[in-house]
Amino acid sequence: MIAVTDLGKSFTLHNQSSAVIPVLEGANFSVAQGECVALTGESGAGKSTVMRILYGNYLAQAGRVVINGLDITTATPREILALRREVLGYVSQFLRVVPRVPTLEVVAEPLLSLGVAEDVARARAEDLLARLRILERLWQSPHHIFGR
Amino acid sequence: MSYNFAYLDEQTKRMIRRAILKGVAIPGYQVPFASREMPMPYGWGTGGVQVSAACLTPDDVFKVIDQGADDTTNAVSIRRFFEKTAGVAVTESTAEATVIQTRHRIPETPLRADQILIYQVPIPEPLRFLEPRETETRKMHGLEEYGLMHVKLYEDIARHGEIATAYAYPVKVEDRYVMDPSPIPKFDNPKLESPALQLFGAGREQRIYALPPYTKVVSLDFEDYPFDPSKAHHPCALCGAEDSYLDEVIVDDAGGRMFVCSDTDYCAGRLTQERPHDPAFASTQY
Amino acid sequence: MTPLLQVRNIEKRYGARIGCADVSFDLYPGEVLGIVGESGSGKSTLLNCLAGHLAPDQGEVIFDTRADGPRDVRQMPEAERRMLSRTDWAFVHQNPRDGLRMRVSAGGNVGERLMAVGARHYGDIRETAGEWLTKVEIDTARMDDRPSAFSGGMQQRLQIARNLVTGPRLVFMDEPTGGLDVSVQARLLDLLRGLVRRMGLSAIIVTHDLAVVRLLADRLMVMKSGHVVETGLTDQVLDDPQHAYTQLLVSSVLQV
Repeated sequence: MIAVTDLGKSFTLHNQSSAVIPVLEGANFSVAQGECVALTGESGAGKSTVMRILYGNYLAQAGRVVINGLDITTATPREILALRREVLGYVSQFLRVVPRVPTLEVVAEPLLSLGVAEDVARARAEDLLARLRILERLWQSPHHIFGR
Repeated sequence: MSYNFAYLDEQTKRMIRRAILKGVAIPGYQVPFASREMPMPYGWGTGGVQVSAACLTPDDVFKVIDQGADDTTNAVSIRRFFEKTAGVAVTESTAEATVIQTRHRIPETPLRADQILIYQVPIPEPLRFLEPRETETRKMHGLEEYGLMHVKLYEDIARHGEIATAYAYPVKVEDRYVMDPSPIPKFDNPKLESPALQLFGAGREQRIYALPPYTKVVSLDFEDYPFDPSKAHHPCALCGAEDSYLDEVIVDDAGGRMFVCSDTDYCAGRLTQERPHDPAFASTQY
Repeated sequence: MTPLLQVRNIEKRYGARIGCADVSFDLYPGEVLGIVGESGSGKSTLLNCLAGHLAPDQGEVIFDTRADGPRDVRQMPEAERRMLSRTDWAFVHQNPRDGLRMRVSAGGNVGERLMAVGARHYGDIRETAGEWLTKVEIDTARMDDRPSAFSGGMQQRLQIARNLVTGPRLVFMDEPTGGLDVSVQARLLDLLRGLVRRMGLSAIIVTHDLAVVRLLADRLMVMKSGHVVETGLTDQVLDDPQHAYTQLLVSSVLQV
């Protein structure tokens, strides 16, 4: 499902005398379908960087990342968007959404962008929010009233 | 002192005739022309006068009406102008006239194929109300983009509950050009489809346009708010006509009023025909 | 899938000065492209070239028309291009005064495009206009008011309704949240996001506000001195900018 080969990542800070900061080198691993893999390590070890590269959020400087048959280090933005819509999910430390949108809609949004009917998407979102034990009276409120 | 026939020099008349011919060839299209200074102020019919000058021949019988009346200052002075400069015969009778210059009316008596009706036009551009740029309105005519005309009618209905435009009611000519028929009452719009040649002259704006005989002229409207040319439901207080356009006349200091035909020739004609022996009406002047 | 819009080597010069040059990209149906850069970077010039408001000196703007498939908009007769801009295209100006008729009622403003394409039933036009006012959260009781009586945010929402009423497939937006205060901006962005998704719109948004593109755009193009210096997925360009100018742009934004 996921194959990571010789993955390398560095940041070039053009506005700070072009300093190059290497953050990742020669990373290799693979994840099979149905497998749950944890990346662990101390702060600054590059865990988040790998995750971000897998999601297409960071560009890799070296190596290959093949997810579901697509090499995302060379994929077009359109291909990555399709992958995100259909294959990838991303649970972030921080939630980045429009301030005014009610929680329920935030949760329903990915289904809606897949073209699922509005009532079906809402029902699914309600189901998920209930399973995560988020109080029903908060569903219609903007998300920012939650603590992180 | 003597004038060239009909005041304008022959070169100028030729130039105007060329514009008229172009207008006839493209019904409803505003043809620019080099409007001349006339010995009367703008707004007094300088456009109509130039078109009349270009159309008149020594054999013509000329009639001028202003809001339907032959005897108002404007009508009288234009009639005298051509009497003096062209020496043509003049008349107040619609039926006898061969060339009729008009401001804001179409005569009630149906026109014939051997007559020319010449309109004085203050603002020839029907799109001006919503689009002040001349370059843009010309492009809109050229590309037949007339949605804006209906916006104007939409605004009328939204504000007044009906199409409140009562005069200068826009029309579409031969399914192509939207045209301002000059400030005639909308009651007159159906008469724009006529056997007579109709010419429109705007002196200040330097435009001439035309409706050749039997041209298709459709008043713009909405499916659910169709064009309605009706007028006030009064008969004329003088001749009793129910089919003519009426003017409201204040008759005393107490606010007394009556409605009479705006077409004085039509009204007088009916009076002499129907009530030839009523002295009260025979002497009426209005 | 055929791209909705294919832009090839667009160049526009103002005398010796470059407005924009060498700009090429594809826009697919349902995709939202953000164009960012500081004032004078050529992003508005580019947008106006694409939308047909400016004639580029060279290049092609190929639009996938409903009737005849992909065609170079620049080669179309003016009548056809203007028809396109009233039907399948929409243009949202930064200043609503540029995109609205200020002396025409809100309903008339929304109805104009319908009437321009031949709608002749007053009741139907009014009903559709009412539906669109509701969609952009304007009370239908304000339908017969002129936009001059509206707040800036309402005017902008009215402009959006007026543009979207004919169901366009491509929307050009020039700083759509420009002169609005922050809370009004958020509401408008939310509205735009919903409309873009529900109508499956493709859009090109020019802005200098990175928050706007983060929320609305799938892809980003960064422009500097008339040239595209970086392109990519919106979040990738903003979170891992590669070009010096983009890094500067991203780091210049105040974080709250």
